[in-house]
Amino acid sequence: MPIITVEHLSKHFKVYRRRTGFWGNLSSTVARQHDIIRAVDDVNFSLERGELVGYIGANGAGKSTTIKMLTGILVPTSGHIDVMGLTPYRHRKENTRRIGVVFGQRTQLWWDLPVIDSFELLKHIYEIPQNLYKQNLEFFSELLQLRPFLSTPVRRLSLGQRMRCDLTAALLHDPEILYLDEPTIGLDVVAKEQVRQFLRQVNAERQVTVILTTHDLNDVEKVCQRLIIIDSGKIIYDGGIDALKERYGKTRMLIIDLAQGYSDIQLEGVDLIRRDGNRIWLAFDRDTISASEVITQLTARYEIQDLTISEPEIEEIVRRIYELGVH
Amino acid sequence: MRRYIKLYCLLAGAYVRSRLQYRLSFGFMCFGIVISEACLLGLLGALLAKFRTVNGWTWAEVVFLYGLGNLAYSLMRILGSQLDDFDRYIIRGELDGVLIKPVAPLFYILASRVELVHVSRALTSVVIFVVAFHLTGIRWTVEVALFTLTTILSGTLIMLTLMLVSATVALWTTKSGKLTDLLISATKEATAFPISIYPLAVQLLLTFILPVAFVTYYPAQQLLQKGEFLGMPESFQFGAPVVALAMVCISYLFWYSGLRRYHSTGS
Ligand SMILES: Nc1ncnc2c1ncn2[C@@H]1O[C@H](COP(=O)(O)OP(=O)(O)OP(=O)(O)O)[C@@H](O)[C@H]1O
Ligand SMILES: [Mg+2]
Repeated sequence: MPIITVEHLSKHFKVYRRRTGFWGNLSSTVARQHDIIRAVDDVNFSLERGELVGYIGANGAGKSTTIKMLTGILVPTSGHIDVMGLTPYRHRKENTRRIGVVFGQRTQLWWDLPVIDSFELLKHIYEIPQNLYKQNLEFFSELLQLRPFLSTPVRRLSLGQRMRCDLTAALLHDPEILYLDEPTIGLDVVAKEQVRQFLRQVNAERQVTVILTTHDLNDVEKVCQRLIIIDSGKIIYDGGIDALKERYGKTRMLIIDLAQGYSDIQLEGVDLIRRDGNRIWLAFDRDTISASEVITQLTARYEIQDLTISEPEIEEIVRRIYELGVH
Repeated sequence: MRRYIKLYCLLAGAYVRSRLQYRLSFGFMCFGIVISEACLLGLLGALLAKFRTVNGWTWAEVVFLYGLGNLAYSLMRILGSQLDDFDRYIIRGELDGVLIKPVAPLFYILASRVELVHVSRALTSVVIFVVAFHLTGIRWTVEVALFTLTTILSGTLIMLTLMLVSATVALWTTKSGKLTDLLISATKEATAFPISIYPLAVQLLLTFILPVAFVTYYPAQQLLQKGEFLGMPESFQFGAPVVALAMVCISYLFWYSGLRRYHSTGS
């Protein structure tokens, strides 16, 4: 039984052509001149308990909108969501007791109060039994090294410290699912690594199902087993990371410094991806053409100064998918 | 219910503690409110000294109205401060954070900001009200005390729900700050004077559309025995709790239907 099932899920936003001022707003609302943005468009997927899924896509692809529907913040335009047998927006309160949510861009903590006060307030909001609260606070303080700043006001924390506190805040009530919308945004390399390590551990030790959105594909590569890619509201890939590399990773990249700026570059079986002065980036499929064939062709026609060949990183694969779509 | 009372105290307490981190600004705000109240009262005094009566109301009676209205108004401001600039929840998508908590959103929003600054205003109003009560020569009995208490509470609710309706408009239009500001000052002013000074259309408006006449004017008919009903049923003098209850229901339904329209922000 999947823990989350999403079927034909869509969210369309009406965007009114705005006029300024209150009456302008009101009249444009009444006059109903609008464009429709299909932020999420007929999305289907399901998650098993204990999965760790990366949900990625370019800016404006529809990641946050999906998360907001899953957490019950937004009412879908159409389609069906089942989270642990509940419909999030309809059984909002019941659902929120069983999930944890972290928005990387916005803290859920009380800005002017010491960190520990926020945790205490959440204890009452979620009605966490005292002994469980103690135990969890202990556990997370240890794991995320929160002790040095538990009594510091949130506004004085660094971004990394704040994120660790937000993660704790989202997990104090022992949720079964953890939703993270860009949890590593703005963090340095060390802090990112700490968050990743933490997520893996929480997933492994506490069987929390994790779904995270990010723009840093290292997060996905180091944390997730499964990857869902959304593009303009539609899911374009859903599967393992290794499978993605297998399927799209056949492309090789050749970076060449030419001796002079040739105006026109023509090669068979090769795509010219980018050009920057005398440096060009070529991509080719290693199944159709071998690297030595490409180099032979090149040297026959152009004078080459330097050359490197690279296997695509997940980053590169995904960049190409965002730019060119799936094929 | 017990849980909600406890939560209310905790959330309100958290807000007050946050606020007290900026003691100086808190102090200045309180001071400013008391000064502005004193000025308004001075102005009222000056006007009444000149005209003696307003439409057959003695100045003690007008100050009585003013005190009563202001008391309800200050309680509304203490309890409903979050509605003043509610549209930031919509514009900045802050409602997201509320909706992921296992608590009724409206409760959470109201509880998370109890503005003690307005206590200074409430205290000033109490003083004004008690003095005016004395000057008008109303005799204290248990009935009068109960009636007065009910009136103040109903008045607070009527003002609060009006604020809520106005704030909720933001769920449709994104912005409602100006409308709310307008309503805040309009209700304050409309409760301070007998509505008989206004033209009929305004009287009807203040009775049936924005029923702030039930905050001071109609209940005052009972307390002051004025017998001025502007052609409305005499039972209106006892109407405040009924109107308050109706307003609570209407505004809650309005809020609830607005909430389903919430569409957060793009980032
Ligand atoms: N409240 C809203 N009103 C109107 N349009 C919206 C709203 N929220 C999102 N959108 C639009 O829907 C689309 C998807 O937005 P969404 O925030 O889900 O993208 P995202 O994948 O999270 O992007 P990012 O990586 O930039 O955070 C965008 O085109 C956005 O402009
Ligand atoms: Mg987003």
